[in-house]
Amino acid sequence: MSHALATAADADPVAWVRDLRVHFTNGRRHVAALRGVSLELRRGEVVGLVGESGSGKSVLGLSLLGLLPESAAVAGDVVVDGVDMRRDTTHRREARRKSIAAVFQDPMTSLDATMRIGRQVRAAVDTDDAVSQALQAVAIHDVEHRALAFPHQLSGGLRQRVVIAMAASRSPKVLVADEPTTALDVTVQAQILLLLDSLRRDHGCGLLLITHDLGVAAEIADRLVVMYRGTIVEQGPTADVLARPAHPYTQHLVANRLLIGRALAPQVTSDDPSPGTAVDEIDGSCVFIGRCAHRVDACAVAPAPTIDGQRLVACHRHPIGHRQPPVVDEGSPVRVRSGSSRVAATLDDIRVTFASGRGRRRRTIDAIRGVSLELRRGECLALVGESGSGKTTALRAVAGLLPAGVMAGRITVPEGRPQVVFQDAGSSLTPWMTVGQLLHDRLVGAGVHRDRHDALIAAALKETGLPDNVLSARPRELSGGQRQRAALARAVIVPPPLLLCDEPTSALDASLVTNVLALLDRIRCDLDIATMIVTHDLGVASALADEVAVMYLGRIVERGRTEDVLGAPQHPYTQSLLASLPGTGLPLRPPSGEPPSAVSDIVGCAYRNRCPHAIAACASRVAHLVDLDGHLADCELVGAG
Amino acid sequence: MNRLSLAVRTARPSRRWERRWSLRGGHLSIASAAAVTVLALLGPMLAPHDPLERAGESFTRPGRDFWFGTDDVGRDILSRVLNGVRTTWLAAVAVVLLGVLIGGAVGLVAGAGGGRVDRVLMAVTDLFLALPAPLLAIATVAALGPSLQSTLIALSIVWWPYYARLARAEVRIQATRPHVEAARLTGIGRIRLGVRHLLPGAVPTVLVAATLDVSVVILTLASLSFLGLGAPAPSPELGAMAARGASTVLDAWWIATVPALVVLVLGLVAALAGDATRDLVGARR
Repeated sequence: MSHALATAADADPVAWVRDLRVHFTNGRRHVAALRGVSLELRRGEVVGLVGESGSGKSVLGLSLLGLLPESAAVAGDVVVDGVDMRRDTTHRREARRKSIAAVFQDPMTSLDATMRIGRQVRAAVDTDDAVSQALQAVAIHDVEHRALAFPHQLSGGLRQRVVIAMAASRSPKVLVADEPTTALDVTVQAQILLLLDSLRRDHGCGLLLITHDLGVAAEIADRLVVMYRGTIVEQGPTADVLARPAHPYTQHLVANRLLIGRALAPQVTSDDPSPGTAVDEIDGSCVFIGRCAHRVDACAVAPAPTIDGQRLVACHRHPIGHRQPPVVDEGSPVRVRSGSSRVAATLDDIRVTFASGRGRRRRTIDAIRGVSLELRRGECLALVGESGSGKTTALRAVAGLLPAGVMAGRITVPEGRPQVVFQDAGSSLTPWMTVGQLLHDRLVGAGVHRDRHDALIAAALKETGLPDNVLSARPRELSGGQRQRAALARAVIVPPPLLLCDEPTSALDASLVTNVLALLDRIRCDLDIATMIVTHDLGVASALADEVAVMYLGRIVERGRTEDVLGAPQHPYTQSLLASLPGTGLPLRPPSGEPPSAVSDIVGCAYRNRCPHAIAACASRVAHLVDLDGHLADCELVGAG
Repeated sequence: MNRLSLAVRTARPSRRWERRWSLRGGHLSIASAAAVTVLALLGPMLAPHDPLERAGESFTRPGRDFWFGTDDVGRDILSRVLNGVRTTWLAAVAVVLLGVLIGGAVGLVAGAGGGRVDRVLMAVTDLFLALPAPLLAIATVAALGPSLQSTLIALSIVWWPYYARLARAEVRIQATRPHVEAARLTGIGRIRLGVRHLLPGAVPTVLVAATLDVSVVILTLASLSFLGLGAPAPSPELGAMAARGASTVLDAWWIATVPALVVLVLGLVAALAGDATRDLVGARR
């Protein structure tokens, strides 16, 4: 496609849905996935479709592709490039071949694991030459070599590039990207977002970017569409919606974005939307009524969307004419140190080496290459880094969960055992036991006398904001937020000296993240315990931590107070991580390449291959942290070594 | 919207009916298995005649006096079958139950213990798995003399290893799940960890395998006693009765056919109940 087409955005939408309703029947449960959605997509336009799980955003994407399962009851129109994707089955195949393409979340499942990359791409294009063209177009170098690889031999980022290459190879008019970067590291995510943005410019295709992450949508979308429970609640130009959100749900999302340097917003809505709801439950009323803090009597009737220019909002109380700016505290977080000086944990030159295979096949991986830390009571430290940086291994080392014999160095936790809140809190709760039994087991394990159990359990529920009736509920009967709270309750029912959290928010919907973070923060203050949070999300670190330690290939490359490290990063790696955050309004500048996997025998600075400022001396650097008034960085260019 | 709601309305009742029916079918099979168990327990009391004594003319056709006829020495087949059901059904359940208990314990210890414990226990299990069931039965009967007890001992010896392997595999899978790691961090003891956080995860799989197995044991028991490796001559055992009647099946079809049909029904009830258990457990998971 020519550039001319791309710049002159067509007035007619290339794809549209009108009053689309999709229902699923699952056993006796009857779920409305879409409740009358209308949307238009023009050429060269990026529409960011934002919503939490169960909002129906993926169903909308599948409807456009004509891929809804047979079991779905559908009403309404779906038209892509003039083809009725619902009824016109003869032309649908043609439309899929020529007009519309898709990129899904997990590239490993969208690629055929048994087929070499070259052959898979060949299936999407006409000639052999087109294969290498398609791969080069998505900035895959060394095409001959890569084309012979199997999907599992490529990194996640490269796999997603291959999927995008196949999707873009026919210059589709519409590209549906469903959470294309969710499984990727933030640095790779930035690279993929830049790639998708360039595709839109080069091919002039319309891009429907489905994501749960407001930042990702804000980065490249021209228009934002916010969905809640199968309804579009708000829609409009990205900058306008972010600056002046009109619907209470959008206001909540915008106010709760984790931005570097912004304090945690107070809780705006109640917890826990249950994903998908039986039709009868909310038929007729506003979809947001259950969680809305501003509801009025009129909300018992679903509001008709108000349209004002390019803006659309479905709310009785916020017609666009009188929209109010949300109250957002832009001030930097105020941290109250408890002033305690009791040491909670000390790590002294921790090294972790994993070995696989035997004899000549033996390989060793240095997951951690010398980490020293000290944590005090009441203090919160965030370990950040890409996957493979060793941050989770560090957490497991402190928790005592590593197999015997892989660790060298000394970890001391003077006042008892640390407790862990695992990444997926739901699966860390034994599925056949009730929350009450689980809490009880922790009390037994801690050797608490029977007489005190009931009082402690009641206190823990109160502390974590759980209702009493969860005691007799099994984990699968709880909502995502409640599971997280239950896991937290078990961890702190007997206050540990140190609480370790592994990606505490990555399994949660955006609207719950701040609630959980606020809870973590409060518990830390109330119980005066040290917390160590492992996260890939700098926003989480910024919201919670007093101190941040940035890890790269098993070493801490920068450490210091949160304001210093995230506000004035010294190490080029930290700088790149910050420049990879989407939706900040600054241009994305991700580091080149992918996070390397840990290997043995690293000589010199481990980051020098990806570093834009690398100099000759980096190759022979002996790793050590340079102290700049409490702000430590491991770089040749910092403090003149 | 109209068309949609119409589609939904027509689709709904049939689905619901289908679901209810399949659940009913499942409950029915389990209920009939329970009924067979009751019958097995009460069978001898319901029997109109002594199963070992002559009750009438030899080779009496099934009729008013003898519902299933009499055999070559004039014993009442109904009474003999009722007693046979008791032996076969209870023996099959006992073999499976014993297997689940021994196998489950071995599997739990091996799976949770890991390392050397696991290797030794699994080597022993494999040793028993390698024994061919009929040969072992013949050997046991040769050693202990032909009796139902010997057959049961032989069957139990070869039966438990399956459950041991199954339980171990399930426990191993559970052990890699985050909830076990989390439970370990609570500081509870090993036994509490195994019994409360590991074992219940293995129960559904083993339970399903065990219920499905009851029918296999019934058939195996019947085959062994058909070969003369079960209870000795006069005692009412279904396989042996069928074997005895086989020579006269052309003149007096009922002597062999009735016990054979009862074996068929017992096997069927057990298998259907096993299927139903699997569906119910699967639906719960």
